[in-house]
Amino acid sequence: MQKRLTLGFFFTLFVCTTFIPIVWMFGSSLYEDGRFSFVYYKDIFLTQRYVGVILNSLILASITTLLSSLAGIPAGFFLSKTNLPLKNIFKICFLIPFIIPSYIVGIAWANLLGRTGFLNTLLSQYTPFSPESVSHFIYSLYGASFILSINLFPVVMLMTEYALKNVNPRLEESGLIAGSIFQVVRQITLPLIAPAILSSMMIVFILSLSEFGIPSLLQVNVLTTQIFTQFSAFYNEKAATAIAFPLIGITIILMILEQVYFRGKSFEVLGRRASHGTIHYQERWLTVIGILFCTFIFILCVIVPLTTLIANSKTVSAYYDAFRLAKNGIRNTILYGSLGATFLTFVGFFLGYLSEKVQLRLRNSIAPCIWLFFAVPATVIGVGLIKVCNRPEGIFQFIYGSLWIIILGYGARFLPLSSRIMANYFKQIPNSTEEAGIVMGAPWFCILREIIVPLQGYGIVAAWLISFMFCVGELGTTILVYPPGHETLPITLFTVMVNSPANIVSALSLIIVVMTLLPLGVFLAISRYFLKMEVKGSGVLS
Amino acid sequence: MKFITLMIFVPLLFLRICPGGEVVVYTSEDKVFSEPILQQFEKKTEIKVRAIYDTEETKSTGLVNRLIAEKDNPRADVFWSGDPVRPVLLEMKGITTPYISGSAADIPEIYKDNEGHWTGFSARARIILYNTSLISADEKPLSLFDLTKPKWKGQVAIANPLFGTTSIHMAALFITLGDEKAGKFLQDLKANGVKIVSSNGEVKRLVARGEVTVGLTDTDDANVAIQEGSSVKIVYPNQQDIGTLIMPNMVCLIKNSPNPDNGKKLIDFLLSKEVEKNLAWVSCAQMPLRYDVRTPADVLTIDAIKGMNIDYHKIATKLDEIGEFLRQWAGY
Repeated sequence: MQKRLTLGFFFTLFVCTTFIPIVWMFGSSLYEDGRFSFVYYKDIFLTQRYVGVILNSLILASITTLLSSLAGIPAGFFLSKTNLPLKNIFKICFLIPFIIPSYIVGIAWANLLGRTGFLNTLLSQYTPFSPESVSHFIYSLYGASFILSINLFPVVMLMTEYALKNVNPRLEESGLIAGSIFQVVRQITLPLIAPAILSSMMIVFILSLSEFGIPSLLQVNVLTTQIFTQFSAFYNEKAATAIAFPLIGITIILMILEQVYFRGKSFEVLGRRASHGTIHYQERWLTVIGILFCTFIFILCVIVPLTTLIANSKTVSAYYDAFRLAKNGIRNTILYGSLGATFLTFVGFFLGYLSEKVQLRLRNSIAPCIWLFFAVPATVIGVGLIKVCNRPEGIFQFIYGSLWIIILGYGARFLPLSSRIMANYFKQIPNSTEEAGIVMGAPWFCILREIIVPLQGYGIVAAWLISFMFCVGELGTTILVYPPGHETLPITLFTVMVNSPANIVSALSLIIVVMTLLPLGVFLAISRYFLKMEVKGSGVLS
Repeated sequence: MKFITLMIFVPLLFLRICPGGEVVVYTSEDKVFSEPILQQFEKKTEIKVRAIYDTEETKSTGLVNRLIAEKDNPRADVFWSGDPVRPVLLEMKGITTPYISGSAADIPEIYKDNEGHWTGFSARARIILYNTSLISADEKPLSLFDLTKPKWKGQVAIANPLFGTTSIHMAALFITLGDEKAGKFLQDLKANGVKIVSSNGEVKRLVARGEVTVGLTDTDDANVAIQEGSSVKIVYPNQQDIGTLIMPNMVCLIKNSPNPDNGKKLIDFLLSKEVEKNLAWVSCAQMPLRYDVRTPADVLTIDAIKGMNIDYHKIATKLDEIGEFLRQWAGY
C-alpha cells in the first residue's frame, strides 16, 4: 500500500508538472476557429520543406551524439578505471564546457574558425584548406554538431563514469584471471554499462534535437529554428507546437529501438557495496593513453573557450562590473538550481523506480510516458506553463508569482532526464535485494531507506549533478515564466550580452562557470564523504 | 514530511514585502540601458518597479509571447518596447489599452498612435556599418542599393530578415519602394552573396572583425562597437532618396493590468525629456524625438537625418504579408 500510494503520488506529480502543460499546447494546436483541425499538421507532413528540415535535425543530432560518445565514453573510462594523475581536476574541468552557455562557446569557436580567426589562419597556412572552406565549415550543420558535442560530451562522460563505478569489481577480477584487459572491458564491463551508455547517447541525441542556441547562431535550418520562427516572426504558437510534433515522433522511434535492443537482456549486478571499491587498471600504457586523451579533450573543450573568455575579459574592472550586474542572479541561480536539482532527483528517483522496478506491463506503459516529451522545445513548455498556471485563483496565483513556477519549469523540462538517469542505474540493481527485504517482513519505506537508496547512491549523485547543471543553465522556459526579481544568471547574461561591452559579457560567463562549479564541488565533496561512509558500513550484502 | 514543509516555506523567507505601490514593466530595451532609468523612476516616485527584461536583439520572443499568453490574466502594467512594431502587433491582438500621456505632448505626431495605444520616444536608426581598415571613407556605400553592386560581392552581412529590426526595415522598404522593386532589391542582394546571420549583434561582430566589409545594423550596436575601439564607422543610408529608417522605443499600457495608475505614472516618466536625454548620453546613444533635448556631439538629432516616411501600423500589416517571401529569401 505504502509503495502504491507513494509511486502513485509521484506519477501524478509528473503528470501535473510535465504532461499537462505540453498536452495543453498540443491540444490547442488541434483547434482552429473553435473547430477540430489538422491545418498546422498538414503543412509538416505534406510540405517538402519540412522533410529537409527534419533530415537536418536528424543529421545534427546523429553527428553530435557520435562525437560526444567518442569523447565522453573514453573520458569516463579513464577517469574511473585508470590511475590517471590529477583525475579530480580533469573531472571538474570537463564539466566546464557544459556549464558555459552554448552560444558563448559558439561565438568563441566562430571567432577562432571565422575568416579572420586565429585557427583559421593557422589551418589555411599549414593544411590544404582555404580560409573560406574553414569558415564555411563552422557555419554549417557539421560545425554546429562539432560545437554541440563539445557542449554535451560531459553528460556521456558522467553517466559512463558512474555506471563503471557501480559495476561489481568481482566480476571484472574473475575476468582478469582468465583474460586480458581488452577482453574484460569488451565482454564484461561494456555490456554491463550498456544501459548507461545508451541512455546517455539518447539524452545527447534528444538534447541536440531540441537545441536552439547553436543552430540559430550558425544559421542552420533545423526544427527548433523553424519553431522559433513561428513563435517570434509570426507569433503563431499553434503552428510552432505542431512543428514540435516530429520531435516527439523521433523520441518514440528511439524508445522502440531501445526496447528492442534491451529485450531479454539483464544488466543486474550487485552494487559496489558488495565489494570494496572499483577496479583500477594499473598498466602504464593505459595511463599514458589516458593522459594523452584527456589532455587533448582538455585543450579542445576547456582551454579553448576558457582562454577566449579570459582574453576577452581583459581587465579586472570588467569582473567588478559583471559581478554588479550578476549579484541578484548569483543568489537566485544557486538557490533555484539546488532546489530544482533536489526536486528532480527526488521525483526522478521514484519515476525511475516506476520505469524499471514494477510489473512488466505497467512498466512498459509508464516508461514511454515519462520519456515522451523530453524533446519538446523549452518555448513550447514555457507557453504551456503560462496557459496552465497563470490564473487569478488561489494556489495558481501564488505559484505563478513565486520561484515555484521556475522550479515547475525545471520539472517540466528535465524530469524525463532525471528519471531516465535513475532508471538506468536501477537496471543494475537486482530485484532479489528488494525481495530479501520483503521476505524479512520489512515495510516498503524501510526497504527503500535501508536497501534501495544506498545501492542507488551513485545514481542519485549522477542525477543531482546533471540536473543541477541543466537547471542553472536553463534559459528557454525560465525566461518565459520567471517573476520580476527572480532572474537567474543565464537570463542576466542573455539580457545584457548584446549591448554590453564584450569584456563584461566574457567576465559574466566566467562568473557563471565559477558559481556553478562551487556548489558542484561542495556537493561532490559531501556525496563522496557519504558514499565512503556507506562503503565502510557495508557488509549487509557481501 | 518536515523536509518537504521546509522546502516549501523556507524560500518564502526570501520574498520581500513592499509597503508602497508597485508597477510591473516588461521591457525589451536592453537591460544595461533600461534598468538605470527604471531605478530613477523608483527613486523619484517611491513606486517599486518590478521589471522583466528581454532584448529586442533576440527578437523579443520571450516578452511578446509571454504578453500574448498572459492575455486573459495580465501580469504586466507597462510594455516598454525597444522597437516600434511589437506594440502595434499587441494592439492588433487586443492586449493594449489607450493612454494619452501629457508628457508626450511635444513628441511629433508621427511617433504616436492617434488613439493612444502606444507612444514613441528616443529612437535608433537603421544604418550601414563599415570596417575602416578595409575601405576608406571615399569608398563607403551611401545607399542600400549600392550593396547590390559587384564591388560588394560577398562583403555584406545582414541579420535574418524574419526577426527584429531587420524585419521592420524590410517591411518599410516594401511599403516605400513597392513590392516589385523591394523584392528585386532583395534578390539582387542575395545574388551578390549577402551573408545572412543570426542577429544585428552578429553583423556588428563580423564587420568589427573584418570578416565582411559592410553590414546593415542599428545605431546602438554600431555605437557599442565604436566604444569598444573597433575600426568601424556609421553611414546613414539613402539620405538623397528614400531616407533612413528611424525606430523609436515605444511604450504602452496593458489592458486590465493589475496597477494601471502606477503604470500611467511610469509611462509619463518614460516619455519625459529627462529620459530622452539620459538615453542619448549612454552608450546606446539614442536620438531624442524632441528637438530641444541636449545631446552629445556625436549623437545626431532627429532633424539632422532624413527619415523614411512610414506608418507603423502599415509596417505591422506588411510584415504579415511579406513573411512567406522573406522566409524563402532567407532559406527558411
